[in-house]
Amino acid sequence: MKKFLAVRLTKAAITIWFIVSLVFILTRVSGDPTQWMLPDDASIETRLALRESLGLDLPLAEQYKNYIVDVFHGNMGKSYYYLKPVGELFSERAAATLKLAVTSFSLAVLIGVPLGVMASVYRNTLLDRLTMGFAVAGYTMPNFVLGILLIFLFSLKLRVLPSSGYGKPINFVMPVLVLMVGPLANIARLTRSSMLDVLKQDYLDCTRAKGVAEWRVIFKHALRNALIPVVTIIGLQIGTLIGGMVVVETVFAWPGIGSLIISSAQNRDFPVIQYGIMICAIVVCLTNMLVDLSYALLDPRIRDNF
Amino acid sequence: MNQVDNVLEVKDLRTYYYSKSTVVPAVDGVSFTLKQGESIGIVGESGCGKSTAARSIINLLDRSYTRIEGGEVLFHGQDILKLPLNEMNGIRGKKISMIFQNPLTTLNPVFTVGNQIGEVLSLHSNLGKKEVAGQVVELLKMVGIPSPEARVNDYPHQLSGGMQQRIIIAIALACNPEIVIADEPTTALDVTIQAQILDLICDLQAEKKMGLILITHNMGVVVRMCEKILVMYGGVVVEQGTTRDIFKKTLHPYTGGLLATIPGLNGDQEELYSIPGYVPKFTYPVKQCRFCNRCTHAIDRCRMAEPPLFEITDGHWSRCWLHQSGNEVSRDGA
Amino acid sequence: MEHKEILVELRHLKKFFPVNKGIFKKTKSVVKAVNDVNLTIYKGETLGLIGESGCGKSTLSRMIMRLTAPTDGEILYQNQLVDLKHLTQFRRKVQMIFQDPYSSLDPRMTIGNIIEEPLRIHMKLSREEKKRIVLPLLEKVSIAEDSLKKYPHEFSGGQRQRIGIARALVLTPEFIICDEPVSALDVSVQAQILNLFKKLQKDYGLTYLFVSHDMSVIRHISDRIAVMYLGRIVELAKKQELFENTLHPYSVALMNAIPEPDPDIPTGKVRLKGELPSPIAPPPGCSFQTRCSKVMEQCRIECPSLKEVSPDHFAACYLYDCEG
Repeated sequence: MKKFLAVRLTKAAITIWFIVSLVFILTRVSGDPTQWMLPDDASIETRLALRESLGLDLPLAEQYKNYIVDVFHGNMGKSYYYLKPVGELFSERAAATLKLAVTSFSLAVLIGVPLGVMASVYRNTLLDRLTMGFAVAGYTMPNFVLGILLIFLFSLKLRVLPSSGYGKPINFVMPVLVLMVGPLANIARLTRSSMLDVLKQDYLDCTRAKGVAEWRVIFKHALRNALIPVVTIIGLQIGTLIGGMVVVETVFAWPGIGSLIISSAQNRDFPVIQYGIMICAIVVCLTNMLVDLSYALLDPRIRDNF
Repeated sequence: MNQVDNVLEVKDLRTYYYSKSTVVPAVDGVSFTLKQGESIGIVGESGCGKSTAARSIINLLDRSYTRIEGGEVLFHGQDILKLPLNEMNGIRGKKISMIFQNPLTTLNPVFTVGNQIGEVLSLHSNLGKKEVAGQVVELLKMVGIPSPEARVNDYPHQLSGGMQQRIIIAIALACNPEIVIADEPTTALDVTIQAQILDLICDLQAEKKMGLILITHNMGVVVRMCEKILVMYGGVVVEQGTTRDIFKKTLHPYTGGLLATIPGLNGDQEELYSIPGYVPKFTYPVKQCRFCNRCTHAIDRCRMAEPPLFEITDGHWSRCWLHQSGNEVSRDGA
Repeated sequence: MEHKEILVELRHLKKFFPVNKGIFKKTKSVVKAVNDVNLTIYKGETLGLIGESGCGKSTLSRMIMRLTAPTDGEILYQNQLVDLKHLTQFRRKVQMIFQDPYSSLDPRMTIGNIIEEPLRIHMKLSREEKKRIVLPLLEKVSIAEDSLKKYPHEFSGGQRQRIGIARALVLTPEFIICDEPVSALDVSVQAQILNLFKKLQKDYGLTYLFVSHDMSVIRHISDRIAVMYLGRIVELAKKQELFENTLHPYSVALMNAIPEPDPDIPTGKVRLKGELPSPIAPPPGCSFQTRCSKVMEQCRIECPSLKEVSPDHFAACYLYDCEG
């Protein structure tokens, strides 16, 4: 078990390092951030001085080496735009993103799984077809389209929900809705198909023959088996969620990390971009590792291989 | 027949399969009785309805395409088919339990064997956790599992086929049921393990005076385990009687054909007898003898109407127009 | 009838499977699926191979067909070594019939294609010529002529097995390995297929290696019987001799375990203790020692080899070592 963890952590670290390096290089070849930092009529000397102060005049390899050394010392850099240390910037906005993420994700799982179970138990009935129809709609519709449509309907036409803002529970309604629709649809769909496979199994009949009540057969015995592949999907939805986060925060002007990353990409705020992508990479890698571990937790047949 | 003696009375059980276009009479009028401690075997080939008939007794059917269309299953005089599901659950596992065919797929892979045995105990008794755990160990000992204290935390896939089947037997016997239905309990096992398991079932049945309904296609197994035999074909019982009667005084042509196909039963033969043709698909309603198209003794009458069960000697019945001189058995099977 | 011309000879055949443990896939131990098997099969006979799950009989039959390569040992066919060089010729003379009629036919191929395929691989024939070979074969196995364009799922288990037999016969082989061909079939269908096997053997002069775990089937179809346990042959004799004069304790237990379909025959009482030991770490000595009621000191030290105890009757057991 320890060996497994050590190997996976090493692999994760290598992946993260690779991604960060890639971003580092891509940002620096994409253009000059100093362009917008100074007024258009600034002199060339001023620009050069600014570049020097930011360390952008050094050759790429040396910049990279300095960056890696800094990272290992915990120095993530200062934002060009906000002039604050990157870490501070992110922690200010982290709360907003986390609240949105946790709410959306929990709802996606808490609604998606039971919905999938119900659809499988009542397969080919109206409930099943409605649920699956909604699921298809959910993951095919791009979330920015959905976001804008919802704003149009509820903010402009009906005037019941605010189109942006942060702080009050009512601000959460539309962003959460938009963010959770995709993952919910996927989770429901996959729970349903996994349950359909499990519902055919002999051991459920054996359980019924013991006299166990039907709802327990479904939710304790069947679901426990059906969840095994679903957990992987849930884990992968984190990736979808991160992507969706960026869009949703922009559409609803949510003061979170997503909108920060987007705006810093537009502004070529290198330290922020690098730090943001690194965070995303760490989150995804950790989630994948947790998903693999949960497999072992849920399926005793796999546990033996550790 | 003294009604009080019969623990179980199945009367004219009918279970049909429904698809969009057809109705298949999987079980089309099966009747038998079971006294305390008695063992009855239901034999037949695949598709004859024996498994469906057994499952119908405790209503363990896939309701999306199966329905019990008629008949009664009297357990101590009470028709359990009419019970609501939650009351049936009180009988399943406690008074009537079941042993299944393929032990690996019958056990839930994600729960320990101790958990799965404990579940049936917790469900049907008021025992606390510790007592249940103790009972589980006792049960494992009873079914002959070595080092039971250690095995309690094992998962099904860690055990061999024979051990898994013993676990299933432990689950079935945990609450001392009055009747055990064993659906091909040894078909998936090696012959030496099969012998051990059959020994175990025999011993436990005698010790606890349980009734046994054994479903199998193996005539050797049924000879060993059962006093009475029902031979099924196409959803109906074609011959019924004691084991000795069925084997030594065979009446129905299908039974005769079945026994003749067993290699080695009739000494060394060059060529085995085989029943011509193959089992047809039956749809409701069936208006002729189900076996007549393959029967070497068929007469005109066989194609015109389905014969009822005729009693030839006491307790020995045959569903064949050739045996019409016997007393016709009423539909109740009494 | 004495068939003394040797068709197939197996010498010291072994198949070991490495067990990978540890994160770097180091081989920590081996499963000795087939462990030093010596066997001779005579032309025209049916040699029955009986054993329970895990004894290695399937691995052995696959090795003879060279579907897997042996770890050690030799296979000789008509006195010639069977190796990769001679494989194509070998495959024309030796064919296999598989256990599961539901998975041994490609569901995407028509019956015609399935049966013709060996012809396409080994010979260059016109469509007419192929038909001239295939159609009489279909008749021999009692499959209707119009089945050529149908797909496997349209047939029952027994019919599919017949199609598998036709496929095996299309190259007119000399030796057929039947790996549990009737285990998945109902008793009455089983009888039809077994009769077919016997008839084909007479008509085509075939030699069979018939593998099964069902003693009544083996008893019916074999001339000689080999009993296998944990990768070794423990007893080998003519059918009559094996049943009248069973030697090896495992064979005795096997016979006792068969439920006889006759109320007048009492149930056998000899039982094996316990379960099959793990094939990864078998104890030194006889592989049967953990379950044998007659185990002696010798048995725990060295594994007994297959020795002739009486004419044509071989057993691998120290109980009979002093005799014969």
